[in-house]
Amino acid sequence: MSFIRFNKLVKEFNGVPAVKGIDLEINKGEFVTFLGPSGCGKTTTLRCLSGLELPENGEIWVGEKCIFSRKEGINLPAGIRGLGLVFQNYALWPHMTVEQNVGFALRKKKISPAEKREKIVNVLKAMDLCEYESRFPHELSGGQQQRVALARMVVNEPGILLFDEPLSNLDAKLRMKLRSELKRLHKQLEATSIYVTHDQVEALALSDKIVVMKDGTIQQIGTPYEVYHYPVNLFVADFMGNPETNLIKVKPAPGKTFIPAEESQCSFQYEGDISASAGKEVVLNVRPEDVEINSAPGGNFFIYTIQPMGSEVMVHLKSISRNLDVIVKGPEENFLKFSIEEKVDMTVRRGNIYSSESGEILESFKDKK
Amino acid sequence: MRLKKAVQDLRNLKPERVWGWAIALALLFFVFVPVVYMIYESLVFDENGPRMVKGASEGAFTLFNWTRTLGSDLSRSIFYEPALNSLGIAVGMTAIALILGCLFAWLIVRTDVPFKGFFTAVMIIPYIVPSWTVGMAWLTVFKSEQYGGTPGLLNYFFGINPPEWIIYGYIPIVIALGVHYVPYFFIMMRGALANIDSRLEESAELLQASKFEILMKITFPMVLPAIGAGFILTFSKGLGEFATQAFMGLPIRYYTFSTMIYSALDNQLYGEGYVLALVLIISTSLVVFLNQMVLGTRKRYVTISGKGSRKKAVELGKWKTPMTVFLFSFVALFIFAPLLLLGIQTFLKYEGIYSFKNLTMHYWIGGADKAFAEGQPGIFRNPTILGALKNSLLLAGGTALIGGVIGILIGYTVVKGRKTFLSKFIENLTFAPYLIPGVAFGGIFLTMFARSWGPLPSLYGTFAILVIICVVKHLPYSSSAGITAMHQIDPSLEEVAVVHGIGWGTRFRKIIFPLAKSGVLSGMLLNFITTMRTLDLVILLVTPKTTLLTSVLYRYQSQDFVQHAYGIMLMIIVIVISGHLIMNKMGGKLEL
Repeated sequence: MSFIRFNKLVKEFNGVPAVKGIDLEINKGEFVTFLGPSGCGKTTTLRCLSGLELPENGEIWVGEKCIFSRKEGINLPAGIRGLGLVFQNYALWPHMTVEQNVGFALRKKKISPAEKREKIVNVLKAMDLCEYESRFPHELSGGQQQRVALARMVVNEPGILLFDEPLSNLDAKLRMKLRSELKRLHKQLEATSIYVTHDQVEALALSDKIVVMKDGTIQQIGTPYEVYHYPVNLFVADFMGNPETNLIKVKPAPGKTFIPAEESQCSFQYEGDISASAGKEVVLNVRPEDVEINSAPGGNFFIYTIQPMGSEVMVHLKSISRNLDVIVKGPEENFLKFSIEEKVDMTVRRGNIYSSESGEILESFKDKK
Repeated sequence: MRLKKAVQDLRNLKPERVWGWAIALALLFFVFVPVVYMIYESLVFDENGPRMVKGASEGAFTLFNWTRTLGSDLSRSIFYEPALNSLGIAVGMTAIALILGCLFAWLIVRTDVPFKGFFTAVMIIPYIVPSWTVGMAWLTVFKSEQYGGTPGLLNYFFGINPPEWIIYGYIPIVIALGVHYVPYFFIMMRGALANIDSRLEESAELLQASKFEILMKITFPMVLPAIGAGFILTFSKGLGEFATQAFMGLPIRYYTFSTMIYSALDNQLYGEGYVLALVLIISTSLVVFLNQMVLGTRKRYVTISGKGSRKKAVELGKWKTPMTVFLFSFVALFIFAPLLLLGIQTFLKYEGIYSFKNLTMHYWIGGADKAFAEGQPGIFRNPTILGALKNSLLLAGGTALIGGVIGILIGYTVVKGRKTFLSKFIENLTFAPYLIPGVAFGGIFLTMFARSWGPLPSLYGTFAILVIICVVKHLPYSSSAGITAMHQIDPSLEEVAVVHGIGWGTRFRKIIFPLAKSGVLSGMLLNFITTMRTLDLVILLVTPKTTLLTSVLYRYQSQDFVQHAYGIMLMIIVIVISGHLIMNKMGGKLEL
């Protein structure tokens, strides 16, 4: 049974649709990420759920309760929807200390001052903020500020946690650290969490379920594994993956060969089986880590650049006539033996094939290993 | 079901929209209805109609007022000459303020002149004190026995009799008003210059541009919008200035738009007064809309991003000493000397005799004595003045408070409802009072509120009408302070509270207000100062029960009780400067 339900949710800004009739179900306790480029409607959807935006149409349900319905004229005020929200810029009240910031969230609760105090102390302890209690937000580092925002959110013990790009203002190292804190926090509280981000790495690392969005519509809902390895269309395929994935227009040919549409002499091999797309012109999506290259004096490709990135190496290939680019990535030992300008052949070990007209997935293939 | 929906609808009704519409309606009533009423009154015969035109009856439709004012034998003296005078004054004073203000700002922000802190602190004074301060001090210096009765400083010590055109009229008016508006440009340019990312100038320097080239091609174009906006605002204010023109022009029958409107309305020539007022409103609006068209939106400051590195001061070299001397002379002659002179005057038993034997405290603390000022008691024993002091403080304080609250409410509505009709409507509406000259505004309130309007009783003669007119007239300051303050508060700070279920009353008290405080205080400060020294707005509306310091000052000055007049003047100055200092302490900052 789903816990949060969006039913044909529509939100417009001055007649311009930002969310175009979204249907979505989220289970209790799940960690769900809304992922997409800026302007895709992910934050707007989150704000509709929180009650900060008034949708134009549709329904939102939490558990057995309808919290918004245009048809029924229901719109529960944000404050009684029982959720917590963390903003990208933390939104700490600059004129209040850490303790006051957290305590202010409790002012609606009818509990004794002693209980209040206990709750505040507990949550500050959990967030490792005890010594900063009487400081003002501007006296804290970015990471500490974000922890205060988290403390303020969870002190009320909301059943639903909402995160609006909470880590994007932090530097890379701190972001990693807070990411794992967030994951533990979710496990401890067992609260249903919705996380908005445009960073696919964050989405893959945190989520039980990823919702990929574009132009106010949902493109794909799936586990991180599904979304990464079996993107349902070219948009999702292109959006997921770092470095960029390779999208090549090809025609499958007998003998496990692809012939690129723009470069017919530059054919290359693949492993596994395909059936549905034989003979048609299609788009091949192959991730950089799924390409194997071998030195071959008469090869169709040559090494354009080699960029070591620590444990991995990224190699940029070009076809002989330079019309086709392929990015390849893998462990050091596989690639450091190559040199620039060296001629190579390539083999695709795994990939997805999309219709060049609709952009929808046709089939996937994979080697037997 | 329907009931439930109604309850939901009520819940969803945002409070800011409720008060937004309330304010919008109030503004329509107090700004637009008066203007429409003024147009109507200009198109019918007033009570003098039957006397002036045969067969005319009061209240009948006519173009008589317009033709008489704009196209009759009288037009030259009641319309064209005053209009030209106003135009000339506006051009002259704006030129003085612009040139000196920009020069001073550049010297202090970007060059190596010494005593920057001192200059910055005192440069604001001419704007805080009443605009006619320099004018009055001017009179005490240049007055001569030949014109104006008692001798001035020059006459007494050197026996010089300056010609009339130096004592009264265009020259002293332009100088007095020009000095008054120098701080206006100074503050605006200081902000603009300090905001320029110095990397922009440094990049030009790396391309081997000369200092002059950088100033003209990089710096100047970037601050041009600020200069342009300042020019238009000052110019349009200059068109409607009243008090200085009255003090320095009326003695020699030198009339301007506003003094002409005043004398017409004061003599109950309403038709003529309203025609003049309407022409003035139209001209001011034209100037402002022209500015909007040329400069785009109403941006007052160049928004130039970037922190920039520490700026290297421009070295003035051999110009350093002359420039420093120049700054000091300006400060001494136009800021300190006038205050000192006015102060000394109040201690002179007989005006125009500058000797120690002539000193007295009579005009401050003396009792009624038929020998001096026709028996007017000294300022601190004078019930009229003390009553006016109380009224003025109440009015200025009340206006600041009410204006501040309305400003913050407007700011909230405008910023929260961005892009909605209400938001744009209010934002533009609050600017409208700016276009109506004070004398005309007062005049129309006089006519309009002499009678009751629906549930609203006749307001003439009440203190309330003074409060209303001051709040409405100064709304552009209040609302722009409120809007600026609200823009600086990130919306998420309030949204967090919404999510935590905190009602808007608490949100307003505990989050919005504390964060907007400093911005709103500066708006209130400006309201306080402006109300304290306002004359044109209230001169037609005060009654013996509601006299203000400025109106009493005007009366004493025209009766030639100069010691009393200057004493009141000093009281006003002391009050506004203290107000400024107190607000500064509380975190407010004067913005224009």
